[in-house]
Amino acid sequence: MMRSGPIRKVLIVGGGTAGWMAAAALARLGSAGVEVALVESDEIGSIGVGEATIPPIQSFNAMVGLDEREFVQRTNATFKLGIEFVDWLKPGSGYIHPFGRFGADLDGVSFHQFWLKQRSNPRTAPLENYNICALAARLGRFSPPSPDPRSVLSSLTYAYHFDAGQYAALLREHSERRGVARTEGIVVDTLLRAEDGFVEAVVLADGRRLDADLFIDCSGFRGLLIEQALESGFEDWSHWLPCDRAIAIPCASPGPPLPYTRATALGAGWQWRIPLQHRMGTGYVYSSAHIRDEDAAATAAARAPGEPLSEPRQIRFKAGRRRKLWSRNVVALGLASGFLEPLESTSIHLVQAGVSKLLAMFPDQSFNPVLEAEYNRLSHLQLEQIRDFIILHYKATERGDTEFWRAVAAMPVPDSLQRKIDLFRESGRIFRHEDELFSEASWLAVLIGQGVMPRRHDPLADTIPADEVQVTLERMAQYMRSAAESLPSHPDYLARLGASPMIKLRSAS
Amino acid sequence: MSGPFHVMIAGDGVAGALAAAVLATRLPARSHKVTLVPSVGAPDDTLGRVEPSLPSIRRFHAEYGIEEQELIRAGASFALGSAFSGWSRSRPTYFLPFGDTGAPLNGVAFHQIAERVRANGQQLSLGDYSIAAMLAQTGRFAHPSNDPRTPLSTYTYALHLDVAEYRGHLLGIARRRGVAIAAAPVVETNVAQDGSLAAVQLQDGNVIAADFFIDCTGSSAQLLSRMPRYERLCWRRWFPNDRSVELLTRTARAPAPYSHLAREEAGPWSRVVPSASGVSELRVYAAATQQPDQAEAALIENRVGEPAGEPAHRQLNFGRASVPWLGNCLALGSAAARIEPTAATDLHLIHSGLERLLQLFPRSRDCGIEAREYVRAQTLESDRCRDFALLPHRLCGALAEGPRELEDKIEQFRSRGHVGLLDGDIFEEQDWASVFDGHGLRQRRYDLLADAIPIASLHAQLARMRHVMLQAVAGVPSHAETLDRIRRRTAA
Repeated sequence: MMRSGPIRKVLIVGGGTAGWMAAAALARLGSAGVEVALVESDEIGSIGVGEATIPPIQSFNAMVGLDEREFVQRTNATFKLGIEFVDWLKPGSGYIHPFGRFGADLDGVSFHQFWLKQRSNPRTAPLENYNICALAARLGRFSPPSPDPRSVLSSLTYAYHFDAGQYAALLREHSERRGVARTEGIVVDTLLRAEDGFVEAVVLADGRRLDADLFIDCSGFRGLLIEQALESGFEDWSHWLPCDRAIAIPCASPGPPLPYTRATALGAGWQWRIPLQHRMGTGYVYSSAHIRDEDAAATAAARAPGEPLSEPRQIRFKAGRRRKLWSRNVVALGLASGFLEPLESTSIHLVQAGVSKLLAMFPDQSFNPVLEAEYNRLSHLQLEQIRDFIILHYKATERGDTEFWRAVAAMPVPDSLQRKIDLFRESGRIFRHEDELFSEASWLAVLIGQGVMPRRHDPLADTIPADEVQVTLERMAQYMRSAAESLPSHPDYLARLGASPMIKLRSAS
Repeated sequence: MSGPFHVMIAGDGVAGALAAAVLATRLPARSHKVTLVPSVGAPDDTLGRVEPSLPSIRRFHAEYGIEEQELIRAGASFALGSAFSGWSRSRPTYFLPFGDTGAPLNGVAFHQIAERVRANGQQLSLGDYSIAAMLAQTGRFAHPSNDPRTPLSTYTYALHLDVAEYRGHLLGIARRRGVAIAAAPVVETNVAQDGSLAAVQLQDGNVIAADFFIDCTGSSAQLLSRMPRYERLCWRRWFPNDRSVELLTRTARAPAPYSHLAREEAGPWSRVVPSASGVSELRVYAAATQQPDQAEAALIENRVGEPAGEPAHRQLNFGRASVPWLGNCLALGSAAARIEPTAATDLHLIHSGLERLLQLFPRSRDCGIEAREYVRAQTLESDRCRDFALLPHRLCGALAEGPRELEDKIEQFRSRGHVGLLDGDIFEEQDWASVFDGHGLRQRRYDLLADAIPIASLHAQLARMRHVMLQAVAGVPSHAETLDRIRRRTAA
């Protein structure tokens, strides 16, 4: 029997970053008469390691009412201008995938076409020298964007690295202040309605039962509701993304924090380095088919840039997505919705995007299937696009030094990705489809960084004579470099924000 | 490859003239050559004598150096949107404006706010909060302001173009920028062994070989239809109207700054597109319901101006080429897609097709990769334009069920006032909301966050918004005055 009327109660199952992000965003529904509650167990650890993010996090924080200064202090955050990819193309190589754009378009033709036209000229700088975020990152500088639209510093775009556990704690404070009720407990069972298979309530270990109209499943990989109760199904992407384990080692910072993430390709996967104010997050994401756990742990420990601060933790996962992220009256967020390795810092963004879509399509008790279908369609599209972008880093490699790299270099890739690679290889064209997350600039940075060189450039770039283009490129590179050099150092900027005194000490030494 | 890359454009109607003007502006002269070949018979058999456009035309003209002032001096006028009479079962007339309707309050979309106000018992018409609608209703027009603080920055506009003048202007640009104009139309195409187009034969016996061909020959798609694997998708099941008759008239009255589409109970509908140099009056109908002479009589009887020529009868066959770029041949205009003109999308699709071509401009005859991306993006856009053009037919009940993407949008809106825009959609959420509102399609539920604003505060904010808008509109000169002022400005 179809129900009607507005949703009166939302229950978020599971805490951690996903659960508390959902709580903080949904808390605003309280003023519209919707009760929002969250159940989590202090016993179940959340994955939260050092997290890296992408620029949309700023609007999420603004939306939930977090002040940037408070956020940076409470989560031991540092700033992020991009990601450096070391040894991905081949050992000894390195490129930055920065935020923001490259150069400036001329006469309706993309900047990079002019760069391609002049790339054989020895005085043409590497592509990343035409992006202010990349330049600042390499110099260890940081500042928020300038309000003056004429300055290249107005195009500085940034995100953060932060301690996920502390972020969840901060969001919890905000949520509880706005009326979100937290219950401590472990969910052991889910009760379904006989008439339509919707979730009626969850049952806790101590026997308590929590009813709600809408459930947000943030219970992690297990997907207590979306999978165990509603059997949504899982689409496995491990044939494209073979990494299935990670070993995380928080360690002491070897020096002042850099304003970017580093991902270093290793024999069976990659190592991450995420700088926080109070420590460094590092670890090895690897494929268990290509390296034994003990060897991966040893490698991760040997490569830790500072003294380990706690026992290494192993995490197991499978790359892929739930067939339905929204099923009946359950919406899955975070690890319950699927997993893509954090190579491009997308995990937290996917929670943010999921919550925004849910708010835009907030159902009533009739749970019109049209909303569910649209939510799933958009979510699937987004996951596919991110998946393709990550696969690119593996596929477009010249490495062949281990079985792992030989396998990923040879694997067939999704059509959607192959078309993008072919189009770019032909004459350097990139198009963003369906409002996808990654911009043309992002695709450009990784395609060029991973050695996918276009055969030719856009013929329309030939309207401007080569010597004129060369002069423009050289002037632009010079101007951007001096602009980057005028910025304060990243540790100095953090100190100004009232960051942890440990940072001040280091930069003074 | 030796010698310049030669592009041949077949058909010198507006599509061909635009292609010639734009390519001659953008392609490097040293390495490229453009030739334009005239149409068989009269050009522009699918556009009206005065053709409406969408606001995208402003940026397009600015980008390619087509001066708006010159077009106005040649008789074009401004447009703030379209009025629809007799389509909606809940309202005699509604307006689809160019620009914003209201403004979001507390981050909640205006149409959601409107629905909350209605749910609370008060009537509200979206058109009362649209500057473009208010200006149109009172016959005013001036260019929008760049100052974001004034309500006069919240609208935009398009043009009503005298098609013959527009075409002439574009041909002039093309000639000045070095396009070669052939003397006779195409009679024969030579497809090479590899399936690509090698050359065309003209009526005067000349043969023109080229590397790339742009088919602007109208619905007959003279060149594209000769390419292997050419197929045309017919949209008759959604667009049953298959005939039209058009009359150009003149009137002493100043042109209204909008087009007017009026539907009759029995199904035929008319469109009046005024401009400073003349008015296009069009009647669209199904051959099954009316004879051509009856349609012509009805058109003449209901005319707004005095006839300035003979009525032109046409057959309509709405649909599109399944693949509008095959091999080294690209179709533009009605050779690519033909959509019932309820949403003024014809010119837009030519403009966007040309821009897309430039973004993917090929280097050689072997351009499969560029073609694939072009086709993907352009056909999505054509199909989404088709859906928006179908919308009034669908909502008034003349069409029982539309394409799946259209049905999905309607259902999502009905459910929660959400408009799920897809890749290729050119109309915004507000535009869909305006049409739904015009047809009285109510959402079952509105955005919950609208409830967070106390109703008294909402009423006060809306009243203030309307007051500020009315004041701003009162200070805007009439459309006639603005046109006059532009025409009097001496050319540089």
